[in-house]
Amino acid sequence: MRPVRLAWLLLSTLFLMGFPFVFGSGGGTSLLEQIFVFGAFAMSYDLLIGYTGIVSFGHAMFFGTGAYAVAIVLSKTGGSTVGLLLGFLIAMTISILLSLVVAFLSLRVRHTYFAMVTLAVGQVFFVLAGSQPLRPLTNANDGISVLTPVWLNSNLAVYYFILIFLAIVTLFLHRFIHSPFGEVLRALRENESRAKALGYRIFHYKTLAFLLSGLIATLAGGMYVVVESFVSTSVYDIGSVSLQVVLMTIVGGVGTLYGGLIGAGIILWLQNELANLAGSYPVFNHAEIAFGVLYVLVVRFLPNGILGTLKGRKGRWRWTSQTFKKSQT
Amino acid sequence: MKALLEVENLHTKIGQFSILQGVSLSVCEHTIHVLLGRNGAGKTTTLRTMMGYLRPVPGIIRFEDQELTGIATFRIARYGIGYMPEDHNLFANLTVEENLLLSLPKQDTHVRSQIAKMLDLFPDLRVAWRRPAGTLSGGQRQMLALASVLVSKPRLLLVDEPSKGLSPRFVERIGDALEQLRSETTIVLVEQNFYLAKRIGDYVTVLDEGHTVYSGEMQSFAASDELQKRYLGLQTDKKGGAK
Repeated sequence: MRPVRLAWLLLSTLFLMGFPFVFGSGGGTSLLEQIFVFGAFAMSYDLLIGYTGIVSFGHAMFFGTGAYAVAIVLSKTGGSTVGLLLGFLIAMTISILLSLVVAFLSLRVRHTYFAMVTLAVGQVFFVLAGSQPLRPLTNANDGISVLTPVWLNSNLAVYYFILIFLAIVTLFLHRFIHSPFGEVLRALRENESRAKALGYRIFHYKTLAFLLSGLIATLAGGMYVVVESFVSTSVYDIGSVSLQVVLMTIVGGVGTLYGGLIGAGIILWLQNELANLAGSYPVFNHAEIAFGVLYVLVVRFLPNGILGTLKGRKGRWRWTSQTFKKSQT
Repeated sequence: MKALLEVENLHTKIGQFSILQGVSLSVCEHTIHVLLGRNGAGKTTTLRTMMGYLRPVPGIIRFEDQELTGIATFRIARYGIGYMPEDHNLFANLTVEENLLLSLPKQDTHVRSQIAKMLDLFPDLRVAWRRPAGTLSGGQRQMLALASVLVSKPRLLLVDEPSKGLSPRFVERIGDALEQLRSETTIVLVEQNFYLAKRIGDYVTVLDEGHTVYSGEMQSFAASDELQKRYLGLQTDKKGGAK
């Protein structure tokens, strides 16, 4: 690892580890917990859109399924550790089955149709979660309040639990995208027809990428319940979850992995600030307008997102300095 | 000589248009078989059908004793058939190195030696090793595209117009490389550049409006002004060369 990169990693680790001790376990720490959860969610989405070239408008179906599965099992088991583990296990099983079904139905068709299918399936889950026949399980539109295990009762414990989750997800995704499998995914994104001619079974690669992305989104949904101790149909909402994760990924930088985390940080911080301002200025009640403007500005001035643009500039600088050095010798 | 690839009565439609209406050819091992024909004759469609991108109805494609008709592209590639399309033949945002590594079969244990061999064959790629393929010149791109196919040591290589848009210097080098490969593989080459085709080709099949209209040895085809005029519309200049 390069010294600069190592220094950045150490600094950010120290900062995140020490944050609750320096700033207390209040609003800032809670915001960071949300950023960690949505950051992991956005990175899982980037694996799909940025590394495989698949656009999904229904990624909330995984996030929501994770949240509901963990919440239901926790509420039925009285917030035990076994309940938490079982909740995650059930969530992961449902996620795998769901991604296999959606992949089988739609990954062979054109990307536009795939996006539409995911949108439709996501809506089905939204309706199901709020439906009256399922009230005994989901508590319909009233949502479920959850008791978490005793060892997760303090804010500090939740913070470090989510931080460890984020670290594991980041490390895993980093290794994954730099593995030969990740290389093939990038090749598919670049030129699917060419990849076929080289003997790669496109459908299998896409399915596995979709499955993995869904699995991480599901785990992030489960973590959301640990942070919020509550779940409602909003976790399946297209506007506040599915499109928000698209926005986070685009703002941070598609195909940069860590861009999703940066995007989540910016969007959630902005959301938080606008909510605070709305108390004094009612105009800020409509945060969607601000996000719309942000989206237009990013697409217009930073088409590669924040991290993508920074990486591009660094690459250009290296290229120019190398060319300059060569011309000097 | 043993036929490695046999194509019989190939009919292919794209949408409602019948592009191939009876293409037949037989390709012998360790030869360069050139597909010639006017624009729109069906040369590229023939290669795409052989590679499984398009499904022939009816028609038979046989590679050794294996019937390839209706088989998925990735499986055809795994039988040892390499394809270098006319366009879109690279991963533009990946480096030269990544392009070559992705082209190697998973089970290939001689990665270094295979890549070194490609760099010896196309030395221009050595200097551009870490550059994204999209930033290479036209000639370098064609060389990388060819190297990407060759690195997997295909038993049959389908090459679509490798000389398109290249300077005479690069055309010569591509021609030299293909000639060198004759002993290692079998090549089906679609080529508009008749000078290159007659220089390196052993056999020729001429297509016209989706039909095979001529098949034979390149030597006799290149020697006959009448055949060239009849099938390709080539005029003969005073020095005896076709143009």
